[in-house]
Amino acid sequence: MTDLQPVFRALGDPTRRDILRMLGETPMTIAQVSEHFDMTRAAVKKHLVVLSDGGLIHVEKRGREAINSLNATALRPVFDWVGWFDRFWDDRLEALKSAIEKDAANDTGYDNG
Amino acid sequence: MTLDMTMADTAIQKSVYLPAPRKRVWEFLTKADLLNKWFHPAQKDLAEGEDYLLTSQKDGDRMCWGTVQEMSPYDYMKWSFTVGPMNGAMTTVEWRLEDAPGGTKLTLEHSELPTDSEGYGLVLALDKGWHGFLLNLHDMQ
Repeated sequence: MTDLQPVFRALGDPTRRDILRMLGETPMTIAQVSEHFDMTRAAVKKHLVVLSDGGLIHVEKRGREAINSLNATALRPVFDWVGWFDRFWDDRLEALKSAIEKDAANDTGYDNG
Repeated sequence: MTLDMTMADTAIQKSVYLPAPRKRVWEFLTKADLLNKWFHPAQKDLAEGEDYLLTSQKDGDRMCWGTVQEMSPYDYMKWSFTVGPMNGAMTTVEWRLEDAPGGTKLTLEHSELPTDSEGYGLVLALDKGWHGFLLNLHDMQ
């Protein structure tokens, strides 16, 4: 199973989620990201490092600047993880329904096939 | 697929309409031989206050387990519940049975998602904007 800890850690902070949303719209430099927050560029940089560690962003060097962009595919495992319980119950309830339908058909003497 | 990522609606809720009276549906939820037919093999009939363990049909490994916390026959049952991927963190599963025309409406609620599993706690903390973002991602697939 994929280690989800780095990605969950990255997502566990509201500022980082805001940054992700912004990067989802357009790639940005650290300076551009910093304009949206009341914090130092160094603090923003730290958030970007955590996002990068979680694989959630790509960082591309362009001359002296680094362009940060969203890596949406890294979200897929999170999506799958949360969806697990939903699918679990969907499958079980479907099985219950069909078991009860068979049972009811047996009771009334109908063919259960 | 639904995504419940906000603190307010972290519970999974599902209903099915079943062509059997509440008493019969109750038996399917609580009797070992009937649980085998739709869930996973149970070791014994479920009883209030007792632990339950459901195992894999394939290899006999444990699938889900917990305690039957409350039983109000034919109306309501509450389990503590966990599965392998949760690393032992307990959640709550509630079953509600109501009369429906010609059968039973069965509602499942899976809630009280834990905070003692770090990853899960973080999922619960994800905000509404994030929810929208994931749905966008889903649409892109």
